[in-house]
Amino acid sequence: MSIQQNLKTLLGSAGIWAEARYHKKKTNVLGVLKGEVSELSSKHYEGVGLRVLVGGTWGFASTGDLSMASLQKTFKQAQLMAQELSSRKKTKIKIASTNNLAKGDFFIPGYEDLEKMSWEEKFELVRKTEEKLRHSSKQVESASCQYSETFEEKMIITTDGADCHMKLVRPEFRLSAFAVDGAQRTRGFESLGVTGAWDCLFRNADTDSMIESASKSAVSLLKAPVAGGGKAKVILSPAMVGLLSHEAIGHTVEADFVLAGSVAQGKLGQSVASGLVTMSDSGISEFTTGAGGTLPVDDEGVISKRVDIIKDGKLTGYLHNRESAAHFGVEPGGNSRAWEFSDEPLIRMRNTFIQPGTSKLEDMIAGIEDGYFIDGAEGGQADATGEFMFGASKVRRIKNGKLGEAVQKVTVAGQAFEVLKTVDAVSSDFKWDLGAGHCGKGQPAKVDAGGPYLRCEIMLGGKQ
Amino acid sequence: MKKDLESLGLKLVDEGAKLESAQVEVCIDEVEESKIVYEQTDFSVSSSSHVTTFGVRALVNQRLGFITTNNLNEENIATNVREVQSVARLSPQNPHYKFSENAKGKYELFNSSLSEMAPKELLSYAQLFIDECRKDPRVLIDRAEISLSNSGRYLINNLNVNQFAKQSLVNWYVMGMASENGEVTSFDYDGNNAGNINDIEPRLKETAQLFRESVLGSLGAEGCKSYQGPVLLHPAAVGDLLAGVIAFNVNGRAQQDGMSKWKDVVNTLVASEKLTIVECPQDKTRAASWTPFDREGVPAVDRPVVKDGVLKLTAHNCFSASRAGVAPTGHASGGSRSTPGIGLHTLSVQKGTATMKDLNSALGNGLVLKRFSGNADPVSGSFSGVAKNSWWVENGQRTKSIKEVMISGNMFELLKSIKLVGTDVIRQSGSFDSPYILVDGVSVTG
Repeated sequence: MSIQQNLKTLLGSAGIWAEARYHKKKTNVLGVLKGEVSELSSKHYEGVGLRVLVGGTWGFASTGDLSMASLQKTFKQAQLMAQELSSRKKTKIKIASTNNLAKGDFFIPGYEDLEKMSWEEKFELVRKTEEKLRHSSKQVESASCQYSETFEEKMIITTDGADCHMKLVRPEFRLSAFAVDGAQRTRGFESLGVTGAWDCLFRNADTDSMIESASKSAVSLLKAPVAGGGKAKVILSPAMVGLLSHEAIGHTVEADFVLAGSVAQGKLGQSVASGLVTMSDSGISEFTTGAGGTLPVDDEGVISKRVDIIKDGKLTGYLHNRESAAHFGVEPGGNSRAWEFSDEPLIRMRNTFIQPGTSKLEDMIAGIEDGYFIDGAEGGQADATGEFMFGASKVRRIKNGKLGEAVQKVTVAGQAFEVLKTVDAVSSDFKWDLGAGHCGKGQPAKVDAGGPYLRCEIMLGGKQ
Repeated sequence: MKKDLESLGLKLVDEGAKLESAQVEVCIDEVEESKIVYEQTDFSVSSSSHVTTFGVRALVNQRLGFITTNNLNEENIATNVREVQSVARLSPQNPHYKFSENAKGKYELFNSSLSEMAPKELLSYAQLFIDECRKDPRVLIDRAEISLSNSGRYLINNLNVNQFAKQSLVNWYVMGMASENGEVTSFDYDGNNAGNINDIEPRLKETAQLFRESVLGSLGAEGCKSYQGPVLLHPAAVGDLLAGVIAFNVNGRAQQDGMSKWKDVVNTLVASEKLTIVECPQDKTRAASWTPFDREGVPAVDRPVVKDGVLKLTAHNCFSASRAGVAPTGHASGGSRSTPGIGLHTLSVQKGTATMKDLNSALGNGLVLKRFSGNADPVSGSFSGVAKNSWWVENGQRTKSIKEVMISGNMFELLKSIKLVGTDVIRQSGSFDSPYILVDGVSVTG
């Protein structure tokens, strides 16, 4: 009997609400560091996560053993865990019913193509890219390049009607240049990440342009001055806009954070941003194909929808799983995700973005007398209060309406809604640009983010 | 830990060697875990998992491949060993791919009353933890977890290595904030662990108390003036800023490949003479970071990293050690799901001579940094980020909590700028030990 059939049989006679999720993950990694292989590996992780709702309480158990005996034992264990906890559970959980449960096959193109493509072909590109990057400048002393691809297959079945089979693949490509000048050392970094095949991965950038950018970034940082600290007028690139959308706003509107008292609590319908700002999160790759967080069905079996978060500056929605959707009396939008079979689903973002506006980038730069152009998104964090910080590795001065010298990496920070209220121009461009970035919230999740160029005011950490 | 896992590991090593390759290494991790999660104002889920993973490295004519799987079907694993050998063929030959040799041992940090704890008992501890955190109703919990795990690791290869360690452990953490009269503070988190049942309750209460004090202390936070100068680092910030740059730059491979600034500087001064840091993988009081042997089976030992400001260590796994022509140092990091990297074990910054009063007086007027939330680049040493859960000292006295304050500087310069090291060593999250440290040259933007 197939796994899908076994899971249906298991849940069929349960008499309780239950969800079974088979998740098979295979990640291949091919890496080269300074001319030598850093990693050639194939990682397989496969199993079933079983979640039940007993006495208004969640119980979850997982197993990597796919035999029927093991599945039955694990299912009983999930029920036992829920029963134990239910005695201390104050508010009994209800889940939203929905007509949007997935049935059938959901296969995103690319899985078969990348599986067929030889390791040799992929490795050759990694090897050549690292070699070229290492020789791109006299000051580049070392370089690394890594390609990875994660093949995911899921079967999700719930006792109230979800019954689907999903396949997708997420390739990523990263390179780093390490430049040296005396005691000074710097790093330039570029990455790509998509949901799709090889040609999708390189749809907006070729390896030569990535090499040039990483090398230039590392070398320019060797001599770059430190930015001055304080509030500044800035242009944020699509990568930074994506990070702002994800870190600073997106987390505060995840319904679990809202219920915990995030800054977005009670603000639906209120003005939280400039009227130029419209922001959404979607499991679909909007505007252009291949966004890294694309997800046709979430891990509760709900078909992904676009969720509008801010419309013309007003807060319009939160991100939900079926539990929080029931609490708020809305439809779930497909934001419940688990990293692996052994993880229980949490409310997560997918592809988060600000919609393009009508301004031209050159006019936006021309409108700044003294400020910064901020690109090269690095790691970021945010509090439920909306206070955020994230790093930027490609930063240039803007003086008298013109782009000037590069400065050292900076960290930008602020309170999300306060920053969005200062937006006075939104460009007509659009780009998904979180590269190989992942989100961490107890579990990792592959996400993407992007948008147009934004002009706003933000705090910069810099020299005093 | 099932006995048949060792037999399976030994069989794979033998059969892998017969198939083609001269050397095969198997790393087996088995973890059984029960977990209780509390979110916002209520328990949210109780879960359990049992996962065993095999990580197999094969060395075929000086070519190296790696595969990992959690499918324990013997035929499947044998297929994977053949697959890893074909993956290895892609790799250029390298004489420095090496496995460890001649190490056998059985190690335990195991407490049967802990390992056999019933779900109901774990739930009682969870309730105690939540009640202690919420002793003051102004404390808001975003998420808290408590888990019990029983784990075992085998590291076996066909160069006479067969190491085994098993452990039972209770782990917990809480993250949240405080709220009063519409004001919501910054997030903070704290956690700890226990390898002995008698340690659970006092440590749970201690974690809850530290968390409460931190978030309540952040109420009423204000901005501060901008300046460049001294900052007093809380032990947590020492971990965030100084430990990270040290761990990256002592990495043997990072030195060999031109990423680390500390190539060929062992036995020279890299920090203030006031700084001494030792590694403590054998310390059983830090149960979660107890490490009897590394990812390649090499014994991990307690040793100095920095002594009186002088660098004493280059950390190697078998690959970087072979390149350097030295013995591996027991710093291969990772688990069965990853190839061995290089990483330091848990660290202790040794106590200095300054009392808290001395430290505050020497700071005079300035920032005490508890948690650094930002980007710290270990290659250039530059860091820039936000000060969280931190406070301001005026004339040597704590006056106010601060918020929306950014800091930046260079970590290599901070190491050399250390003015004073405190007398009281405080353990962070059950693992990293450090006193307060006063550094100079930090840009503070208020």
